[in-house]
Amino acid sequence: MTNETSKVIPIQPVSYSRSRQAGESQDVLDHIIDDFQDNPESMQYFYDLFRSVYCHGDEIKHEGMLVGTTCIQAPEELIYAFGATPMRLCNGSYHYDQKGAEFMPSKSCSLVKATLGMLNSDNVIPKIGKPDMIVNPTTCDQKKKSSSMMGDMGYKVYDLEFPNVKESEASRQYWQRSVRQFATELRQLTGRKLTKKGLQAAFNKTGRAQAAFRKLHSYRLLSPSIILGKDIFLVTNAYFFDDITRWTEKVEALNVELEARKQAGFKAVQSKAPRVLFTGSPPIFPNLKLPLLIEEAGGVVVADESCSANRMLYDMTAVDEWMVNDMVDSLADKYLKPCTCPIFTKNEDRKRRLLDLVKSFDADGVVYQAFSGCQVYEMEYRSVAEAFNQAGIPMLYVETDYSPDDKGQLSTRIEAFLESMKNRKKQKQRALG
Amino acid sequence: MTNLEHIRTAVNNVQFNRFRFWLQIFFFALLVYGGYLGIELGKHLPTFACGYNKELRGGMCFLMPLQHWMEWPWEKLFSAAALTILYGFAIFFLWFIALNRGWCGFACPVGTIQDWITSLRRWTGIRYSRYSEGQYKGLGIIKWVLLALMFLIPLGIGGGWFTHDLKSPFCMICPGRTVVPLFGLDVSQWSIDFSSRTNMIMTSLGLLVTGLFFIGAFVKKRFFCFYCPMGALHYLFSKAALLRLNKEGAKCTRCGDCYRVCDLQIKEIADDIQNKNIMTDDCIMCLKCVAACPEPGALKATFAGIPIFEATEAGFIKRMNKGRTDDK
Amino acid sequence: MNRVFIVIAALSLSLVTSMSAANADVLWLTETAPPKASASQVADHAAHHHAMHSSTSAVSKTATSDSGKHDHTGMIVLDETPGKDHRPSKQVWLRRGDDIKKSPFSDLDGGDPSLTLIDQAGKKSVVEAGQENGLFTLKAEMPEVGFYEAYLEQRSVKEGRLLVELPKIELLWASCQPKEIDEEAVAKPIVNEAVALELVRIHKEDEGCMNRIVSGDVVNFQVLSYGKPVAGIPVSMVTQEGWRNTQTSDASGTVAFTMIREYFPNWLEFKKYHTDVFLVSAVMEKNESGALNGQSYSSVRYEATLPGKYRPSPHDYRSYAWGLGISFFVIVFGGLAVYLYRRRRLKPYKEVRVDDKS
Repeated sequence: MTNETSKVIPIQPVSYSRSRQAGESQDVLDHIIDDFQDNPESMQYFYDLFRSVYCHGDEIKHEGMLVGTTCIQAPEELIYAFGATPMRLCNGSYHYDQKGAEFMPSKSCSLVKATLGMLNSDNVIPKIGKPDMIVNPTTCDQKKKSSSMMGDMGYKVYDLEFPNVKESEASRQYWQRSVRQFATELRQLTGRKLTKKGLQAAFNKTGRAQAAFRKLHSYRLLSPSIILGKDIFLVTNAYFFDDITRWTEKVEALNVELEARKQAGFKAVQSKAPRVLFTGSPPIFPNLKLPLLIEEAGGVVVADESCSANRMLYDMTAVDEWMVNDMVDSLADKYLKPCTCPIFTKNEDRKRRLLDLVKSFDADGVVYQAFSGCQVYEMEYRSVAEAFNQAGIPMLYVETDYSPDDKGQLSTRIEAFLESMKNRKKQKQRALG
Repeated sequence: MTNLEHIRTAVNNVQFNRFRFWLQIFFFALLVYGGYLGIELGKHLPTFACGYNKELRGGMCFLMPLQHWMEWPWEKLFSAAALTILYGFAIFFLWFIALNRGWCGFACPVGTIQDWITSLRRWTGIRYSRYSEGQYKGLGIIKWVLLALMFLIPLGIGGGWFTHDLKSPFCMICPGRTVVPLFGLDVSQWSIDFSSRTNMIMTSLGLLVTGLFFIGAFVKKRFFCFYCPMGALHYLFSKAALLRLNKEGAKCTRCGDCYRVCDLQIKEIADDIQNKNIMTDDCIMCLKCVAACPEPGALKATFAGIPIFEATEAGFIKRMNKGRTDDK
Repeated sequence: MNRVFIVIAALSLSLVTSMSAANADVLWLTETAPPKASASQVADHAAHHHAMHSSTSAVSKTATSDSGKHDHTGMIVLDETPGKDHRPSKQVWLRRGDDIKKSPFSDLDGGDPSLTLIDQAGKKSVVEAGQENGLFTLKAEMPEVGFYEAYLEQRSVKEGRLLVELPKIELLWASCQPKEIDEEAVAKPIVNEAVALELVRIHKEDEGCMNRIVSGDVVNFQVLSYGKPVAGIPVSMVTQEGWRNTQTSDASGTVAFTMIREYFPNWLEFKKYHTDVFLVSAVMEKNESGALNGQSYSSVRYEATLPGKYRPSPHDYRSYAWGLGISFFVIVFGGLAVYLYRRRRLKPYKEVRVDDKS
């Protein structure tokens, strides 16, 4: 029967921009741009970038070989140093989430499913072209297991061995060896040598990008906020695939604008808007559902602790001797030691980081996103909640996925949470005043 | 911004390694060549201003008089004459508390020489070595053993058990004795004294350690500092010192940048988030960790409670950017 | 100055009759204590030595540099050993005869003895001789670090000849604190322009206070008469072991002796602070006539002596070759070991084995 119909009505190749997938991105982007006032002018570059990449399906150009990464632990400086371009493959599309469902059990992480779905599709969006290699750090179980699946799809996958414990000196050395091994692997792949100059240039690229990010980050300290969290997520999401130098320049331009806003005493939100710290599973475009819900409801995401933004760009590398060996080992340290990923045995550092962020960004409450099936975040919820409880900081735990179905229900919960924060704030002020 | 804040920012943004390099040269000139200019800081200095560097030195290492006092006959050591020793200790203490172990990180000529050897290695492009965790723990005891022997052997001489040829036992094996006078073109310490068995053994040991010093300092940053009994002696008094290395655990992300640059590979500097006073017995207070800390205020050097050099984001970015763009 | 000056009554034209300087009966000053010192005296001596250490008011010379030249071992001072230089006072005795090992200690026996002490700055002071166990002794106080010269003059007339004995000794309060020393003053010889014959050891320019004469050194002496150099004077040196040499002063009044090596102990008995004594003497004869205490004379014989101390040469016990050899060996083999260790680390990881025993 189906054969019959297909014969009768042949499937018309639909242009990507008219596809359901493009529509999903279009909706979110329009929402980000149109439903908020006073978007910074410098954000236009990022809006256009996402529109071109996600809505029009334009190709992303890159230099040298393409190395896909599935986690922030893949040292991108090394990839740049070999003249290749790193591209973060983590995907936020509900369309790919559904497509990837065939690889994973029904209750597993949307991010991993979406990434697999993307890699398995014929028309990969963002249109990056086929990676010459995918680096898959052995972090959480789902990412570990997707390694062979990506291999089966015909990709060359390199498992970058990542330790489960980060406190011990042994795992630090194990990881340093891992990273050195990765450098050897990249040498074989690219046929190029790792030179001091190349590595220094790579450090320069990411160093400048990180400095720009840190500057951007520092503007979020201001209260009332001068920029919204949804824009920040968009900016950091662009880091996944955008040319790093151009990205840095655009962020620097944004910083200039924010400085002007700061001088002018600009307010992006009302003074009494609850300030929210976002933590947990990473919002990746187009899945900016939760941050958008928060900001639509009158809150503002002032800081985050997630691997699609802060955790990816915040921690900077210190090198003592600018020689290849020490630079590579320093890189290894930077990708392991400050990492607050929940895959580690202990999560003391994550708790401390969260508490410090709440304090320094003057957050009124925390929203904890856990993708259903992302066990590590789900498991860490308890201890993090306890830490916040002790500190007297309200936290909203949200278990969700890429599906838009729970939007209404979430919206109610978030509104209630923000309302309670507002009340707390008022009470606090009354108590003070 | 007030003037004070301007100064603070300037200090925190300083190109620390370059600053330290010149400060070390200043102290080196003062302590190794100060005698030329008639500078005499006395013989109670808490740093290796070697006394064997005769008239050139601008002051003298306290370990020399200390060992000498310990060699006094016991009846004298436990008499009113011991007031001399107490007085000496008091002067040493006053010098010490001013800089704490900053004496090691900035002033010590032997430390400075080691840093120069490190620069030489860096220039040749040879990688440095690190101790494994086990080695680090095991070898870390040596400085305490040397400190104990530095007291016990001279006491034994005073008590009549050991020959006088064993006098100043630590000086005899200290690389400062052989290396520092070289800067005054004095090679007289580079000989083996065959006049007695003890002299022969001690001078041989001295040159053996000197050989190890050169090898060690070449492959390991601040090789000797890890074994230095002066450092151990410092540590006993460090709680009273004015210059301090403080850490604010809450601000620390445990990124390990400080551990990365630490010449003495002190892990606690990165991992310990409980103690405010973060100085360990191996710390030479070179403050490289503060310069390499990207978290504002997480690490700071304070003098009498006033922060004088603090980790800042801007300072970190400036310093690391300098390293990245340095072609040499 | 209650010294009686001799009026030279007449000048004779006759020549100096003898060139011989060898005189077995020379009078000389020494820092070596008489051998019969009782046990209590020795103990006193040691106590004194330590007391000096504790006197912090004195320029502190406690713990300082240079094992090689540093000498206060605190051990009991033995007989027959010259006094040590690390103290601000010294005791000097008188001996007669040029056998350094055996010549007896003596008391003043001639007439008109006079004792003069001159310090570095040239300040003269007349000092009184003392007596201890019937022997001449002088306790010289040296208020400042540096050299002091003690001059004894003793005259006697025998068989119509005036014998003027001019023993002299160079005393040193040494300090290992280089900064306490006035280098220029130390290098400059002290000269007594009031004596008819004097032997002066020429100091090295960089001599300082810690310098010691050692075997193999060339030591220069100058013969002076009333502060002016005299040529053609025979000068003899006798060492502790009896080695003798005589030289005649040149136009500038200088003679030079190379210190020989006389110390040949077994290795294990070798002491690098072993100190030997040498004695330098000069004789000048003049045909002068006059009278001393009613005794007339027709010729004058001046006998000047100057003792010194010397030690074994560091070349006898110090070896730079060994020193450099050891450090070079350590550097080469240490470097090699580090290199090989690093190379080995590049090899694949070796499996850990578990067996029944473990």
